Amino acid sequence: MANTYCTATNWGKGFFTHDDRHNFYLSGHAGDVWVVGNNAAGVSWINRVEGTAKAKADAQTIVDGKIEEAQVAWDASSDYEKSLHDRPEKYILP
Amino acid sequence: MGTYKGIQGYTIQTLGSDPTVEENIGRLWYNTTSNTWKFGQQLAGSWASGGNLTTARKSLGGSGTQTAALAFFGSQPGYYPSGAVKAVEEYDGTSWTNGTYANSERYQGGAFGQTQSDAAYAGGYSAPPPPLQSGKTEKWNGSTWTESGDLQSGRQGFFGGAGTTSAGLVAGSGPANGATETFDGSTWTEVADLVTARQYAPVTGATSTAAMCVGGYGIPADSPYSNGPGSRVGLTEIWNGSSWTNVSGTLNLGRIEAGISGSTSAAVIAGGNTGDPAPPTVDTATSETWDGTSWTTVGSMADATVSMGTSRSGGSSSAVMFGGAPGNLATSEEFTDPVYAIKTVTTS
Repeated sequence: MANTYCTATNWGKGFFTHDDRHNFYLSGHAGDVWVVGNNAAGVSWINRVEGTAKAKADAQTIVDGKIEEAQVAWDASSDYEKSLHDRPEKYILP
Repeated sequence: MGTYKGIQGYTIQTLGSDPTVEENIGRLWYNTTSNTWKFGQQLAGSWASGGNLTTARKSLGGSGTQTAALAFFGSQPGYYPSGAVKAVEEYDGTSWTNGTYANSERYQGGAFGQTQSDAAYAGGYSAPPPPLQSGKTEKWNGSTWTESGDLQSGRQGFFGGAGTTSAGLVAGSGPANGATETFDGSTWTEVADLVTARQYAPVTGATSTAAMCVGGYGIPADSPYSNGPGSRVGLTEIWNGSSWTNVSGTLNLGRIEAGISGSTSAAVIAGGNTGDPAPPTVDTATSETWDGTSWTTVGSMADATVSMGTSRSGGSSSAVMFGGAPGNLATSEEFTDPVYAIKTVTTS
């Protein structure tokens, strides 16, 4: 399995370092969901930031929920704003 | 079999503490305190988390460097036209501290100024009641915000700016406007337009006579808002003090609402919204550096972010980008290129 999943709140400086970025894949998503490369460094990072491990399906559900909220906000926005951004669409986590 | 000294030209040092890594790239040493073998490494540029803003927001201005930045104005929760704020925060490379608030609430204005103590914000959306498209300009001298001359026309949709509070520049605004104005410290003067009219286009530059405008959004001809070439463009235009010129070095990924920091000879752009003209449009975490001639894709941010504030000085080797969307973010990311690291030799 290439990636693992967790939720963790980004507290700021030191939450992820340059070393981390060179040692494992990391991407942040709505709902404090993080997709983390599944290697020793990635697992160690989840422990360091006190992340809560999630199954991919559960992580996906969190992100989907946040996107649905963004869709509601987009629907309520002006025509001008709508002309600049497409309606947020759900996507599959890597 | 060769010896280490024969290959490297020096013997392995035993040291009580690690040496300065920048001066020991590729060098191996033995740390007698930790009883470990270590070596210095130079890595490609990457993004690390920075301090979190006190006031989460998007479409804000920024100036300064990665270790001494200023965040100002922006939009806090809610969609157009509400949410404009006048919050100001200072960054020391670790954390943000509330500073002296500006006089007016605005977002999507043109931000310029090169340092934490020399910054300005022109135009943008103001808080209701109308007129919402403001021409207002405020200057920061490190201790107070002072209102100055207005833009020739109230506009929004700026992303960045160039120069200083005594010689500044803004360009590209909404809807799909190519108008460029220069600032002499008190008065704005309209000068030559961008070759391609656009909005949400990142602008940066160290002076008002050396600026660049990258990417952005030209509204399609069938839009009720304006006429233009359409699409999220990757065009790069350079301003020489009198006119804009399209250069061959286009972005690898056209984008709008991206963060940009640096000058016409060295800059970094990151994030933004991309995908058009092949919808759906998506936010991107990718970043690119500019060497004065071409854009090169480098390490991605951790979060796909749009409409963030940015430091201004640091070329293509150092920047901090803060706040932004989706939602209203408080987080920041710091770009450093190259990254120096001390690695411990392990048996695994």
